[in-house]
Amino acid sequence: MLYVYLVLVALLIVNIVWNMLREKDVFVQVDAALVLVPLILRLLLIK
Amino acid sequence: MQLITRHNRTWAAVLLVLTALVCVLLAQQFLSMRVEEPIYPGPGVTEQRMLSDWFPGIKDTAADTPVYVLQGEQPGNSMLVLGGTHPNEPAGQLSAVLLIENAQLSVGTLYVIPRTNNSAFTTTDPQEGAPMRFTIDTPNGERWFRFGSRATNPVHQWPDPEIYVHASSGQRLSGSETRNINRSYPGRPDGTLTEKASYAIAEMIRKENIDITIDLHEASPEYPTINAVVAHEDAMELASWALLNMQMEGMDIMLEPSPKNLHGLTHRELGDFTDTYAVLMETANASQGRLRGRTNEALVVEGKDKFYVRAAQYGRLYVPFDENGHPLNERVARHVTGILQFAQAYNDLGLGAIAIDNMPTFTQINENGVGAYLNAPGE
Repeated sequence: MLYVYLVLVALLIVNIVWNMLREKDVFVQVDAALVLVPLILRLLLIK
Repeated sequence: MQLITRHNRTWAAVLLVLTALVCVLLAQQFLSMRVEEPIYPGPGVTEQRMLSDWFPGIKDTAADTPVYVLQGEQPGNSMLVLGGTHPNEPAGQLSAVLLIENAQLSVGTLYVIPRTNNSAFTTTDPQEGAPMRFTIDTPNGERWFRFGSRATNPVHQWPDPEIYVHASSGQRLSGSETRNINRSYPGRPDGTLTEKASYAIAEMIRKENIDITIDLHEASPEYPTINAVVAHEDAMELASWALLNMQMEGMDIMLEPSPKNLHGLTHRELGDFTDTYAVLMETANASQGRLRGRTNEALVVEGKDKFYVRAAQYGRLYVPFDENGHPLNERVARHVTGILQFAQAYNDLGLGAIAIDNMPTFTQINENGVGAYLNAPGE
């Protein structure tokens, strides 16, 4: 179960970064950056 | 296909670097919770073991935790003190540390676990705004202690079920209670991490034939079971005798029977599934209450809160609460006195022999503060 969860989180991170690079609106890019923080901490099993 | 400008990619790169920086800073803070507070055992500690010695199933996991053994000069009976069952109830852990750093046994054996739910010390409860540590002044410097969560760190045990079904009784509770060690007794060797930890404690009690188990807790001032001893029916006579002695020392305290239909708690399951006399003690801790104001280190240590003073005036609390609050000194004094009186009552009733010496009295801890009885940092 844990590994399934981590794979899902990793896929989500890749997807967000991919879209962040293609996004034109800088405010949406900022939103994406904020969303990334808890996801990265979860992927690393820190929080 | 959309045109991707260099400008947007530059912004994305800048934001990704900032995200990485924020992650590093936050990770440092969260990982610092995994650092254990130093404990400086006194001369009474004869051995330091790990809980996994009694159940190897938790070895090298976040549930494994130190067990301090204080072996008396003469053989006798034994007592186990559980501090840190809920790491957001700091008087329990601090009372256990006071025993480790001061107590000496002339008769019998004392086992002390200061971090019963070790994993729960590595996180704080979400949305509580609780401090990650608190400090106590000692004559030779400051000592710090961890303020943690009520339940096992979700990083170590996940996911929570929608409904937590207690294994041996079938009792149903909300899903997050699956990480509450005091709803998981007597535990299971093949259960969750929390159930394995409680199973290890039950195994330790069975293998060492521990006669008395005292689980140290705190409660919100608006919670009815407060300034109380909760005892399994087998331990009622012992608890009644100890309680009378506590009252004679000036402690206002009541005795409650362990409900037979409330499962997973030490005072119920350890009494049912082992031969120990199982009791639990509660003191008044404003820092875990729902009516509290600002939650900070001062609230944890000094126990003063103007909203609780007002709630007391409205008659909404189960303990008196004035401007002096309920400081950690008072709460630890209550727990330590309770432990000593349980040992005394065990002797007085002719059940066996256990003698814990060199501990400060209720009045001494109240007057001089806990810090006066903690070893100096590095000692």
